[in-house]
Amino acid sequence: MKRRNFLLAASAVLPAATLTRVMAESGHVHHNEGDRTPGQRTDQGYMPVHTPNGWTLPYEIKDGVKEFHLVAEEIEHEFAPGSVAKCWGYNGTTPGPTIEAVEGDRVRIYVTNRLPEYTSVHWHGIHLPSGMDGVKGVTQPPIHPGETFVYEFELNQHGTHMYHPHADEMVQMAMGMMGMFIIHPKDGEIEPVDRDYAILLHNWALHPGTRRPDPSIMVDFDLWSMNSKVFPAIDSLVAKTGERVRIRMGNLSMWNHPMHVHGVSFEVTGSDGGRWPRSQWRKETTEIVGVGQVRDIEFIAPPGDWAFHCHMTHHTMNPMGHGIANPLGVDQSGIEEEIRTLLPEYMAMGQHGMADHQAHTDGGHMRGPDNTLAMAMGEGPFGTIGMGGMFTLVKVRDDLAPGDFSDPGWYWHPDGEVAWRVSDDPDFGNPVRRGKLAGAGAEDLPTPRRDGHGHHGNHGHGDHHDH
Amino acid sequence: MALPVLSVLFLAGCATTVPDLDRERLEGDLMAYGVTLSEEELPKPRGELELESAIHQALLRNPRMQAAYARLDLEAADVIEASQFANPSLSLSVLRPEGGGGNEYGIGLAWGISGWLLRSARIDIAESHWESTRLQLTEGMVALASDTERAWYEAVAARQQAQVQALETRAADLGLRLGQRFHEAGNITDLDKAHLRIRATESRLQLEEARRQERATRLYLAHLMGIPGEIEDWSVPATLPLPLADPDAPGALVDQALDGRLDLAALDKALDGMTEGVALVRRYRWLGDIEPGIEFERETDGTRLWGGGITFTLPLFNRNQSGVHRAEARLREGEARRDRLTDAIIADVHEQHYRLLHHRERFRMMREELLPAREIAMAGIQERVNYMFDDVFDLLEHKQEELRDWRRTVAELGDYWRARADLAYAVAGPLPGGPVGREGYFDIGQLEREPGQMHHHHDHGHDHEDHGEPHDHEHGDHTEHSGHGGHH
Ligand SMILES: [Cu+2]
Repeated sequence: MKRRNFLLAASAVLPAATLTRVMAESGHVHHNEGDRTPGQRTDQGYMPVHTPNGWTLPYEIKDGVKEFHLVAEEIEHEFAPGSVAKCWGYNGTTPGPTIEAVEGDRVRIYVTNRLPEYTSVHWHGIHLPSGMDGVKGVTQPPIHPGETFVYEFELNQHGTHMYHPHADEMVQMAMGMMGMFIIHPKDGEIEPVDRDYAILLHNWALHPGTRRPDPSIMVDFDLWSMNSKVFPAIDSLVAKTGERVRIRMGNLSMWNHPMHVHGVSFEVTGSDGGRWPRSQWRKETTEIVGVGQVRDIEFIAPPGDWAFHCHMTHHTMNPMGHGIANPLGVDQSGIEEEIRTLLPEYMAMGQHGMADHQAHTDGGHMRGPDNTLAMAMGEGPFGTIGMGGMFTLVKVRDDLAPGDFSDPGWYWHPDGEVAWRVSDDPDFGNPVRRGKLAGAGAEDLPTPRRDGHGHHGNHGHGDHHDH
Repeated sequence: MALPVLSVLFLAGCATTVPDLDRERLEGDLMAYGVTLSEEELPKPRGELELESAIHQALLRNPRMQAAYARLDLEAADVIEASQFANPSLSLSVLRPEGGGGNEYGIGLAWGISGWLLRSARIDIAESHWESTRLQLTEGMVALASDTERAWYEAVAARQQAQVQALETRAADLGLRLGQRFHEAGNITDLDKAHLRIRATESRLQLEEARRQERATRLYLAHLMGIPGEIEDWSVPATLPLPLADPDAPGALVDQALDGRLDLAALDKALDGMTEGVALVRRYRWLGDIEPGIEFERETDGTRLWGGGITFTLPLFNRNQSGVHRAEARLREGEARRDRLTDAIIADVHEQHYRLLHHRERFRMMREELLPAREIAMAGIQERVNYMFDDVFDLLEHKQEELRDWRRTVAELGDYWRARADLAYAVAGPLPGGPVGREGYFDIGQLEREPGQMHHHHDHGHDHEDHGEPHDHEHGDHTEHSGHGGHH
């Protein structure tokens, strides 16, 4: 059987619903994880943040001080179904729980170390007494395994902050030790938000087939995560049409991430310097969150399913090979069949691009290494989504209750609002084209005439007009 | 007077048994070594040649055997001669150089007397030599059978190695051809392609060498079978048998060897004759020189031949003191030779035994550890290629390495069987473990699949039953909304 025929046959036999069903059963595509966040303001007047796939650390008030307790420990973490690793985190998860407080609060944070090595916690971006800054060896002795230290300071600022170790940080951060620390302004906000999301961007070197992240990797990471999850396991961000949505993004990975939201021009409104004055807000659709930086973006939610992702295309992939021979445009017919006499499982891939690869991995035609993910995954209402890594969706619906963060399913587009097929003739419409075709028939490409009278009438392209 | 006596003695001599090439005794001896001689006329080999037929061919056709048969006939003639008195004319002619004339009677009488006195001893000695030679012939057959066995295994191993090498070369070749496609597509450099070509050519050179060796081993086997140059009508099996059970400890093997080695037995027989000869010389020292002799030859093709002889001269001028000395010295020399042979046998058995265990263990490690690890590695790399972590060139390169290890394993198994043949020869008898092939054969069939086989649907254990209705997710028309509700 020719491979093309096989593909057709395979796609006929293996319905697209297979993966969707698997994902739905394992609760990742259609059911958001994490604690629900109350959809109303707290007694202190702020709208609580929602950490997709994560949670917020409860506190107790003692002597007027908000007491939190972090435990640093080794955990088992699932990046997406099929990819599980021993990571390090706080209180059982990576990222650790989000700490939330209000400007003016005094916080007391116990840190218990259950790691095999010492640690410390640095409160990233927060103004505090030098001795509370958490730099092991500089401002404090190490917290040895089994020990509990306490940090106590007053919050005299607001903004989106982070916490992470400052002891063997190369290892401890590569293993997943980090969390968000949100300080709300004490005087409330002029422009209140309805949904407040907190997302930590990170990268991991979980080599395919292994079960523990490799802290030595500097460039070639496998997993690009939002709150330590990768697509398709990242919760969707949901909102009601017209709500003001804020996404707070911190970056503790080793790359910058140009984060892009579809369907809106968001405003960049703040950072770990706090919510910026209105005059400093600027409209963007993509905002780079540099390493160690924090950016808050806000927008009014328009209805629909909107992609939200890093714009570095390799960051929206799950593990993939680098530096392999490029199969694009390589006809392996004939040879592929012969290779199979020695390697029966071999299938040529990538001649027409990588898209067919996902059909094979989703369909289960190809077994991959243990404990790893295919580079592109996910199934939507129109077929495979073909993403991984730092990719999720903002799902905006007209009728969502405050505090409802559950996945509303796929968007039902109003009639006439989905692009549709008008032809399957590749020569359809005689579009204006320039340049030179690669390969056979290169000479056939018609050159547009300078008088602007093209093949099917002038469609108004500026460069067709003679001056 | 004397002539009638002579004639009486001559006639009496005719009455002694003339030994002949007694096939039954030969076959009895050979049976102990697992070698059988068929009475039937043997056609030249055709088709697939089993080990036993190869040995049979060699024993019947190899000129080495023809020479040995002839030699045995010569010895038989000696026995006859020893049992007969020399013809007077012969004795006269011997005497003539010393003769002063008129002394023929005395001389003739002396010869007659010495012949008469020595007759029974001469027969004993000649028969010892004949026995010795018969054992040598048998030993020569066993040696030839062993050589043939070794050559047969070598040919099978070479054939199997060449087969694996052909697969290895195919992998390298596919790498090159695929590289050409990648190159045509503009995706790899001239440099990359040159590297693939180097790898493919290296592999083809190795295949050429493997084929040369395959041919050389067949030619050598044909040579041993006495059909030099004729290798077209027959072939050897394509698969080596798996090792059999281990032989006993070397101590027991040494005992077996010292009991059973025919070269040692032949030497003993020759020494019996020598001992007899020395006694004879002592007893009849007045009679003249009697020189028992012993020969040892090692022919270039590895045949070992022992021999003995006895020479007489006439006691005309001395009383043969020197002859006694010489005879005794020769006997001591022969006994020393026996000690050397015994030592050599013990050393040989130990060495071949160790060699056998060594090759067996290496083969076991390769088969039970290296190749399974290779298989796991190949599956792992295939999985990595499936997920595009590695590319097909890595896969093919690893396939080549895996096949190289298969080839090494076949070579190791070939070494094992050659070592086993050597050990069986050294201990002069079959080794325990049952018939060859009892443990099965070293199958390489799984290294190659028929083209067109697709395994994806069978091997991955996916059930296809609840996939439901066909759903064309690649080419479907999704512009309608009908499907949306069903996705959660
Ligand atoms: Cu990125």
